[in-house]
Amino acid sequence: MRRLNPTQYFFLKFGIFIAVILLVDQLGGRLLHACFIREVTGEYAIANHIVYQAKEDLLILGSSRAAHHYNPEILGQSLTMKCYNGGRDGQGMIYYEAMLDLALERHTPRLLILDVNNRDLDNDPEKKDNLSCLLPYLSTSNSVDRFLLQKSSFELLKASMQTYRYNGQLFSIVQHTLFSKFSTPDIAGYRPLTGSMKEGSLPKKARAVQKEEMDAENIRSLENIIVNCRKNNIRLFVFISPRYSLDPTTTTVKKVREICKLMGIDFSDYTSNREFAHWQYFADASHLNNKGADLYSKTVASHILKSDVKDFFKSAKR
Amino acid sequence: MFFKAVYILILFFTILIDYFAGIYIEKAKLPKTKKRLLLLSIVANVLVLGIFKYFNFLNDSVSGILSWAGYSNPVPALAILLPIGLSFHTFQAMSYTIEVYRGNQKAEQKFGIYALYVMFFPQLVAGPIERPQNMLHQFYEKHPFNPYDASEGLKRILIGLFKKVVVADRLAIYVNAVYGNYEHHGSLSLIMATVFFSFQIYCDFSGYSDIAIGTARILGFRLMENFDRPYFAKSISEFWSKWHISLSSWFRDYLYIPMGGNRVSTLKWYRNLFVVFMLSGLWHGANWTFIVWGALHGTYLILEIVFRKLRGPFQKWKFLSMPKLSGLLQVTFTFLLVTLAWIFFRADNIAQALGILKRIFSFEPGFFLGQPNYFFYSILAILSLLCYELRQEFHWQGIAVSDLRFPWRLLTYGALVFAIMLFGVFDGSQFIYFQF
Repeated sequence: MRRLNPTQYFFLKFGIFIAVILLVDQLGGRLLHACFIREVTGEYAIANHIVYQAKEDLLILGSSRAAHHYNPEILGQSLTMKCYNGGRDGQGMIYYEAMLDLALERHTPRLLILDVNNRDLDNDPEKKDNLSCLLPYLSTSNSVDRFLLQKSSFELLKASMQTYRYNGQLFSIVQHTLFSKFSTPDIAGYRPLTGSMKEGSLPKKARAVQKEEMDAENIRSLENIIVNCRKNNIRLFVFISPRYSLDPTTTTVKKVREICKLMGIDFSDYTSNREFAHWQYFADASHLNNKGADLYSKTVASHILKSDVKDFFKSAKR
Repeated sequence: MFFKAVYILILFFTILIDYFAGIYIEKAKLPKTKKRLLLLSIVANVLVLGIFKYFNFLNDSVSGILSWAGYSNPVPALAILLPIGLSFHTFQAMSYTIEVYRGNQKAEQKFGIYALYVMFFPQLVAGPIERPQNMLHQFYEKHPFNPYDASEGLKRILIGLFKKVVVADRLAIYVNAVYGNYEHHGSLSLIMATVFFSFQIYCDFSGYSDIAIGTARILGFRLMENFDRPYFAKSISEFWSKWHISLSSWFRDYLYIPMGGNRVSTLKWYRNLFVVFMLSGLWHGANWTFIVWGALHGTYLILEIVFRKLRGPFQKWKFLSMPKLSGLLQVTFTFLLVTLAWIFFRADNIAQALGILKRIFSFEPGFFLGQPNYFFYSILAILSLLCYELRQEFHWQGIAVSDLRFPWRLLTYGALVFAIMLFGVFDGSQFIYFQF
């Protein structure tokens, strides 16, 4: 055999290296996906339930405030329907839209509760970074592409490497598959917070945000959620759940109210509802504890029951 | 990061001044003329740096003093951005005219070559701050493709990427979370965040240097080393011979030694050290935090000299005759001092730095873990870095990647690629030193 010169040898070795990387990447990506969909606890298990298994009639979407504020057992019993809480920490409007899109690919709920954070329409790069949690669903649905492009125009290019889709998740995959018994299980997606604020704590004025700059993509996502619900005969309720701070009405709240009014959507703001203004109901200034969440869930259920929801179900052709 | 095309003209201006200054310094017969030309070049460079980097800082400081005295400052702030890498290429340009003046370097006649020396892309924005003797001749040499250089360059880039995205950016998540709300964190969390920042800044900057050196190496160019495992230094003086070598040697050769270095009276020696380190701090950024950081290092060095003189009686202590133990203690002590100073480097202002120090020493209980998996990755990242550097520091044979056979070597570098993809942080964060 002809001996290779150093340059040829270098390119041969480099070629082998790239080929091995691509091969291992494909195999590793598949293996990680197989483990990923087997997560039984944690935030991905909740998202996986919505994407791959959800059959519930009532779906709740939102950020951590949704995840900790809506007890599906209470809502389910009161409304006599199965309920699942798909709230996720640190997420925003684009994520809510993505999850609804993914859920609708295999199941249509009858009711959707969208819990809006009071800064959900603001331009927040961190929330766009957090969209990387949608990467594993690239192999499930093509609709994820446009949401990931909100994070960065290079995101899909990076995601062409299968293992990158599970970036930062190895520990979580091991923890929530092999060692799930050591993790706190959720109640149909609901993760109650225990403990309460210091006795006698008074609501503090929220930190001033220098400039509330709204993001057009967030507004578009909210409008898309409304349009999508209407198209699929899903009764949508938009809530802003209670918080223990004197937060002035933000531009997000004003805009959400305006959009809901314009599009005929039931919108309720519980931010400064006096019924919840007690330190015993809060784990921290932004989150209700289990006691507060139970009370709030009952309030939400009665709010829904008082609405025209029954007529809506009767008239909706499914 | 912002980009304004017109700012290229600033770079062009300094290149033009220094190019002609070099030629005329060489041609000038009278030492006085040479000196004036050098001065012209230095003033032009410092002026550009002064306007773009320090004007608003000085103006703000004057405003603060005037408002304290009950007056208002009539001078408005300039609406300008700091051009990226300005401090780096200004210093590199200055080293050229100084070396030509000293007769150590011939003036470059070709404008294109000189411009390339200042703007060589791998090290344009964050160094290493090169010297003309090391770089200029390389632009005249032919650089045919060399598989060995390409291979070494690629490996170096891979290591740099690992340091940046797996270690530095991962640690930054915890550091930013704690420092961003330091009032709400206990002592242990703040200590952990400060230690993490020590590793973050090292990996952020040395990672960039590795990428720059590796990129140049692929093209056949050799850049100077900028780091030499600084956290294994046994003293502050040793630390500065291992940390940002191209900058510390710049200050040594062009400021400290011309000021008299250590060949002056003891008091003047201390003054020289203090001034040089304060200026080194100021070079990093137009903020009092950097000046205090530099001053702290200057003070450390002075104290080190004082204690070295006084150490006679302590040499009888038994553990000092145990080189490994005393070495470990020295490394640990140096690391702690350096880490303490990083608080000022990282803080947004002096009040925040003092607030953090106050909380650290308040021994407030509680520990912030953040996301457990992120914390776990952070610890894993530091451990992997330590393993890599320990092997290099102590020349442990047999476990180096280069000692392995081809398939195993390939697997090791492959593992590094997957570590970057699985544990790296890809949120588009910048290199810390880009701001300087």
